[in-house]
Amino acid sequence: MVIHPVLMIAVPLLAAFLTPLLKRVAKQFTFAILVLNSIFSVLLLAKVYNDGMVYETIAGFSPPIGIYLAVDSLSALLAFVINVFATINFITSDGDHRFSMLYLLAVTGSTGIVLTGDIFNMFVFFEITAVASYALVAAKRDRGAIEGAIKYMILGSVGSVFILMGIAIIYSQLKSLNIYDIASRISSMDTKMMWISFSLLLTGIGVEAEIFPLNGWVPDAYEGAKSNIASFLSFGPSKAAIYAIARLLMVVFPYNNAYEIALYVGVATLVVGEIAAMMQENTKRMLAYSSIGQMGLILIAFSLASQHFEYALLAAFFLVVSHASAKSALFLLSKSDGMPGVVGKYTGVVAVLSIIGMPPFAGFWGKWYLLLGAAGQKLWFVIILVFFSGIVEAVYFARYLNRNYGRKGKLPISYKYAMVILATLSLIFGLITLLNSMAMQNMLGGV
Amino acid sequence: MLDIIFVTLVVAAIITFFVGRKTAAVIAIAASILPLLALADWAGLYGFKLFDFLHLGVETSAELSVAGATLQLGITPISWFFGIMIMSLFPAIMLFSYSFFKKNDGFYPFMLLALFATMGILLAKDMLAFFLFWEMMSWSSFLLVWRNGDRKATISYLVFSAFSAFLILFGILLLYSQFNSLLFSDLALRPNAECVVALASMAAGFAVKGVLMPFHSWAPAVYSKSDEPFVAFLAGGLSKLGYYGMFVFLFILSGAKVMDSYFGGISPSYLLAVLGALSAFIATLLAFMQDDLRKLLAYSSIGQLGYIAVGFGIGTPLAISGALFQAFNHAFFKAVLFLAAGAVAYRTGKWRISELGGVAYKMPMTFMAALFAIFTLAAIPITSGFAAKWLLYEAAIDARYIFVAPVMLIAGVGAFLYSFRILYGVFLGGNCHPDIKEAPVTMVAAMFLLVIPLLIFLVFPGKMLDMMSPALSNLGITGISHTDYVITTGLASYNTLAVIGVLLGAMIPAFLIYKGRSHRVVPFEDNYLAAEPPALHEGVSMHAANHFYKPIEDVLMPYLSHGADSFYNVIYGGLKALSNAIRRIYTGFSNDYAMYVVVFFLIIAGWLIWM
Amino acid sequence: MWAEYFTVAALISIGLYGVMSKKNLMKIFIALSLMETGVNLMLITVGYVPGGTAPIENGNFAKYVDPLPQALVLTAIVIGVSVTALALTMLIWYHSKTGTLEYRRGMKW
Repeated sequence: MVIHPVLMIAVPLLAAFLTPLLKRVAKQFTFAILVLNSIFSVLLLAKVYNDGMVYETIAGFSPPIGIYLAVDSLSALLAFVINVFATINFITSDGDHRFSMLYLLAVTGSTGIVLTGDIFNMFVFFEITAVASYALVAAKRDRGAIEGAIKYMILGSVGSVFILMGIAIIYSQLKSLNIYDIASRISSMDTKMMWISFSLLLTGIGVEAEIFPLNGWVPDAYEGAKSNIASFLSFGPSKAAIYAIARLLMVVFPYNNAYEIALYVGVATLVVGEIAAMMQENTKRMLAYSSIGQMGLILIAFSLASQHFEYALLAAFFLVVSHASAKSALFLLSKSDGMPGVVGKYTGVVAVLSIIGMPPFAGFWGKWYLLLGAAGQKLWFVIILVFFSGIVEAVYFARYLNRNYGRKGKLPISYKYAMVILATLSLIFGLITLLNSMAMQNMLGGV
Repeated sequence: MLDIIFVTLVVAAIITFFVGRKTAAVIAIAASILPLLALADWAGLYGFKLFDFLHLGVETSAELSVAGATLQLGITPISWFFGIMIMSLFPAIMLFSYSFFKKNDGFYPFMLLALFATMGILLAKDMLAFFLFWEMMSWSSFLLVWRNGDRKATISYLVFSAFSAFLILFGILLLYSQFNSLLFSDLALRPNAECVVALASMAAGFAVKGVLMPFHSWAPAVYSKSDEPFVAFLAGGLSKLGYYGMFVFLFILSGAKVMDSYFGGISPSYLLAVLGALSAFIATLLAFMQDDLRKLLAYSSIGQLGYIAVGFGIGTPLAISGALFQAFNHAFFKAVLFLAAGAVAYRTGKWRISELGGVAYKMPMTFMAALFAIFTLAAIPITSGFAAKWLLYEAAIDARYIFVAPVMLIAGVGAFLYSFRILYGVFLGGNCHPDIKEAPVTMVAAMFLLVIPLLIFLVFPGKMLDMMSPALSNLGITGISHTDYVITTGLASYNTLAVIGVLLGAMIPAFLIYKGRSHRVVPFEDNYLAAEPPALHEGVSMHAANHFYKPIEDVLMPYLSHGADSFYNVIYGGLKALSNAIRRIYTGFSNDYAMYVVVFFLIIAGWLIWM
Repeated sequence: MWAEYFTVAALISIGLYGVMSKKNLMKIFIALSLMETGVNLMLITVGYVPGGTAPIENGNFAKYVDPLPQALVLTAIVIGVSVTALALTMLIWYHSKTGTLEYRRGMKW
């Protein structure tokens, strides 16, 4: 079946603007659209695996003048993850039509970031995602939520200014906005300008991608938001943003200096995130810092791609999937005070084990391939710091499991369904493989 | 067939999660027998024709495909040996648990997963499979600790498991970066810095699970606060996996030779032997001061496992045979002891020795099983424990280890001292609960099942050496000369039939003479102990079950209080301080965060432009 | 060209200074608006061709400035407007919850 990637963006966008008209059935309508989008993402994934990269030009203007969507296998995988998880997460929604609209906009934006091949288009989708996220975080309307949303908004706006500056500099030198076009001509750019634009873009996208020290907004936003919104944030905007950084790093600026910077930043993010998580009493805040640590791990995985492409991308994929499924399940669980019932305990245990990196869950493979790649490059300090952060993780997750073992709590039934599905996904992704050799070949520049 | 066993274990684990406790126990017992069938089928490969009638045809090697990676599995002689030791514990433990638990809240599923992981570890032929199943074993046993809800045990077990896993993984990564392969058969270790660091790291990681000092700190808390059937597995089985790992890397891959040749004169194996001896000594000292029966057994475990490290450290054929023999014995006698403690606790509800006493008169079967286990622990002559320890002492003397041998011997005496406390304080004496009954049939049957191997090898220690010989001959080590009942080493020989004959010849007449004479059961307080009147000593009533060793305790405590435990506490405190300091980065003001953004940009841009 | 780039730098710096040091949320949002204006100006300046006219087709095709950045800036202005609107809404909520537009003294980490 012929699938146009643009449908995955256009359909939810249109649906988002239709929801205010469908006040009564907004929730069901949104769910149907999300399911439709998930089906599209599966079809797109199949197409990318069979045929290689998928390009689609928008509005008839051919590149490099026009905008096009460039879907490689990692984009398709991320689009799949974002949409499917968004569908599962939406089961738990109890908001009105405005909530549904914001949710659809956030999904549109995240999907757009990963699918597009034009840098300004990516910026626009960034803003869509970001604005929708600010509003979603504030949706709870209590003081914590608003404060979190305001901090998120301030930092996000500063970030978007930086991104725009980076785009401006690139455009001024190369007169092009197409990612692959820029990549092929990057060497003709003045070195100072190139590094300045790289730094600007890294800083700007990094705010959304939760890397240190740009992630000050993360603890407050995740703590203040509703549990299902925090869950959405952990797999939606942040994963799209880290993918954008990866694309930037590997396609546009594939220089050793850039990889090195990414490695150091990733390590710093990991260590700071995990250590700060250790003494947190509030569960959501602890999970937020843990999310920061995981994003650091993903960034380290991408930064290893210069020499061990296969291990690096396998690691990144597994880490993304494991964190998305397990952390979102844990955020949903955090709505109750403890681990209610068999469902609560199952989710808590499976999700924690996946994040710590225990087999056969997906997190194990992520850490395994990452460490294997690092060992191949003899980066012993990285390995030791990953171990150290693993021990710190063991401390606070053991404390979390122990504290919540006896506690009961109440959870709405929709939360229970979503939690169980998400936790089981982290097991399934650890057992089957979604990457074949064809997929590895056309991922972000290929082997 | 092998994959059927694996799948059945997983399916059984899932099923037992949902059914009631009796059904779950039955399913668990049935499922845990399957690996034993495989072991029996493989026995034919290693010279034991006993089970050839089974004709199961279990494959000796297999491949498992998970998430795009392939795991190589296969049976080796040493895996078979350790497999018998560890996996035989499971059916008995499940049988015991049939009556032990009041409700099914996760014991059986996690134990079956632990059994699955054990099989995986023992069958692993490449480092990925080994590490994968090792981690699986870590988390399934962690969940069993978590069930009991003790905070210190939960946190320390997970943290130490993670620490152990990372040490092992660090070694694996070092070896991988050198040899570019994960298969064990590809690792040709050479005396260079990378291999040596890898081996040291791995040995330390295995030592954590094998509770060798100074990596033992998690054990007392975890052993004393978890359910006894699980602790029987933990002490009897899981610790052996640590030593299995050490055996694979030190001997099969010639790690010990590599380390010794790298360091020239001072051999690291000597360090291993010394640590083992110190473990035995210090843990034994700590054991006889404990009042909590489970903590006593925990420290006793640490001590007895130290002997295995001594044997591995000495490294001669005599020593390795003794170490493996000790490992085998320890699995069974420690399991029996923990199960007996569980049975006593099940009936009386008490764990403190000072509150127990005279249990033997009401629970004779439990007492007999525990008595036999204690004899084996204390290496009373004619038991198989004696055979193992005798081999180890001879090995130490033969290899002229001047420090290690006396320390081991003193630790042996100490073992007897705390065995006395268990026997006398818990089972004998007159202060008994009036209304307890014997333990349920299934519990007694389980304990007796585990005693049977100890009996067999009491009479036929040669058969034990036969079981080890396929593993040792693969290493090019010729075993000790032996027949079924006689072991002959360079220094002496041990003939079990002769000893048994003499013993029975003395005991039977003594029994006939003294049977029927009247005896009186007295409470603890009405008793002379070492010619001291049982008066109050500094306000504390001292008798066999209560503060028996208080004088020694008072002398030794100042020295024993600075140990590995305080070291780990200091590290933990440091981590907490670090965490509190780093938390302050996130001040809560967006102004600071915006400043971080600008500073980050300036640093990155500056670094990139000027590098 | 230097005047434009200087203005850009000044606007962005003033905006950053405002975000970094002001405690009143209204002032922070005004500073953010300033920053966005600065970046928009930067984009337009990048596309400037000396001596060019506005990029509207009307027959005399002499030189015209680059139309692409102008399209980008239009988009950016719209984004800025929506963010400002959302920000002001949240400001109103914040005021109704806490009675002040300042950051409260308590820090939380």
